[in-house]
Amino acid sequence: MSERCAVIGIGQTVAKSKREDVSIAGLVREAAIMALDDAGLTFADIDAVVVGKAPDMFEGVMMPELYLAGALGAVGKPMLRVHTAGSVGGSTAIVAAHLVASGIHDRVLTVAFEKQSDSDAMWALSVPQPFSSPLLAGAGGYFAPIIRAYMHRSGAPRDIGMRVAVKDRRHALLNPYAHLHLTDISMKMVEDSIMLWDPLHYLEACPSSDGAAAMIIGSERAAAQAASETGRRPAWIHGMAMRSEPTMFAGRDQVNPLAGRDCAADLYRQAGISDPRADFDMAEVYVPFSWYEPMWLENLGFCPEGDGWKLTGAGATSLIDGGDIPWNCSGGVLSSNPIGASGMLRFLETALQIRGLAGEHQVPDARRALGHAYGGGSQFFAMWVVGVDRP
Amino acid sequence: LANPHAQVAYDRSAEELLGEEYVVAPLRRHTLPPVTDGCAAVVLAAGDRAFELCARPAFITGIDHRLEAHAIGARDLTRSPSTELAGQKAGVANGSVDVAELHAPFAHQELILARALGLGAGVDISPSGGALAANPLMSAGLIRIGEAARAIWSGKADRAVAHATSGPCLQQNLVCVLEGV
Repeated sequence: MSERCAVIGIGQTVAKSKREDVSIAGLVREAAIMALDDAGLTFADIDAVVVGKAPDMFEGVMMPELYLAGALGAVGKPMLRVHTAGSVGGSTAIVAAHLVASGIHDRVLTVAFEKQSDSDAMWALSVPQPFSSPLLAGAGGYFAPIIRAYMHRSGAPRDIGMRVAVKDRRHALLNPYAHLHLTDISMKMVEDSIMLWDPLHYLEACPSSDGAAAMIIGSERAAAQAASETGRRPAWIHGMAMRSEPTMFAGRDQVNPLAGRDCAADLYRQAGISDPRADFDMAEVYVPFSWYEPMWLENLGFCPEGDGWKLTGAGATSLIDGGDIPWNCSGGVLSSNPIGASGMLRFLETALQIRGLAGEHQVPDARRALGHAYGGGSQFFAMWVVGVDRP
Repeated sequence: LANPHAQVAYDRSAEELLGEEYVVAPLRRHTLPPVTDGCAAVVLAAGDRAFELCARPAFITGIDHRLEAHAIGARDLTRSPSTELAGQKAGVANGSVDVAELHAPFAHQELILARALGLGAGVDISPSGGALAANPLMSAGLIRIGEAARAIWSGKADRAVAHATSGPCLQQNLVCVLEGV
């Protein structure tokens, strides 16, 4: 990166099953205006707009960014659309930040969304398409055998996934924007829920949500101006990285994908991270199915390979239990899943923590945080590090 | 006819073409793009590295893209204000233009775009045949940049403009200025 850049405005809608009061345009505009208000700006101050969402087939609106031009104040401006499956919200934020880091723009609005109630994501992920391997029964059906391989490989006890499901739902009770507020969540409640894709119970899977997320990425100059006008400090971007690999190839490690490890290594080099568990104060990591927490703990280098479940089991990732490295204090994807926005929500939540604005789910004195998103068949990765200190 | 990558190539008189039936008035077959399978790739290199890889690199000296409203009723479709703005930001008028590769999948769009970019009579417009000769939708814009670069590599042009469009009736437009040194 050449120019310093920071998150200077944040907006998110309350995630819900059905937002029947707004169209997609209304939904994204709601988040965008919240982010502009937070930064003390209006649409007129924005140089460019970067939009992300998951496959167009989810809502059946092809190239929705064109239709959203007016709602996002993009007329007369550059607008880019990003699409990297489930990781898209993270990739979108990175593309927006690159437009500032490269010195092209001062203030970029980035927005990601999904309106799952307009759509049938299960169908869109299950319908056979030519020349591609079918996902069969949606994303859960694809990931369950990989989780079983992880359990076999690591010797993790069967209750680890349920622990994550409970932990993230307890975190969600502290986040007013979360979709699921399961006040009586317990291990028994998860265990008693229907088995969807062995070993995943219903309550070990993410919900289906309508929601949008928005951020304003600003240059050093824009960050200084926003801070002085709003009194809210910026979340400086210390590094960002993306990596991809094919869905299938001989010898591919689907449990611990190389692209994820390479992405983290590049990111940590940029941000000067040598021991992620010690160097980060918190992390927001894309965990749509419970078992992906221990798997990503290993993939992201928070512990040696095979030990991820031990951190989860010991409560190390729980904010409420006082763990040393809280993961997904917002409730994570397990508590809100507007698919295209889910990656951006991870990035946004790290910025919220660094700015000290996370409210009840704030990690005390969070100074450096990891945002992570993955998509496709664990093949697209997007990550960033944000911090209180100007890099 | 001079482009081996073209899908549609012929030498026919204007009178002959105007004798065609309308597909939808006022559009005849010759004003419409073909349906094309195709793919384009462009290799970018930074700074002096370009001289190691290419005898006469085409340097991108300006690039910009702009968007208009989606609703066509909200727009004056005889003009392309987003192309005008992108052309200004990319610096099209900062020098003479030898070649312009315009992404105009419908014949009349070439007239609107040439006017929006201020291209005079001396500019060789779409010598590749443009999108009327081959229109692999999502790569038809990228290959305009490739064809403009090719005109610089060959020495046919010292300064070239490439354009790409997306969305209904020229909603989104990109303008790229390339120069040889």
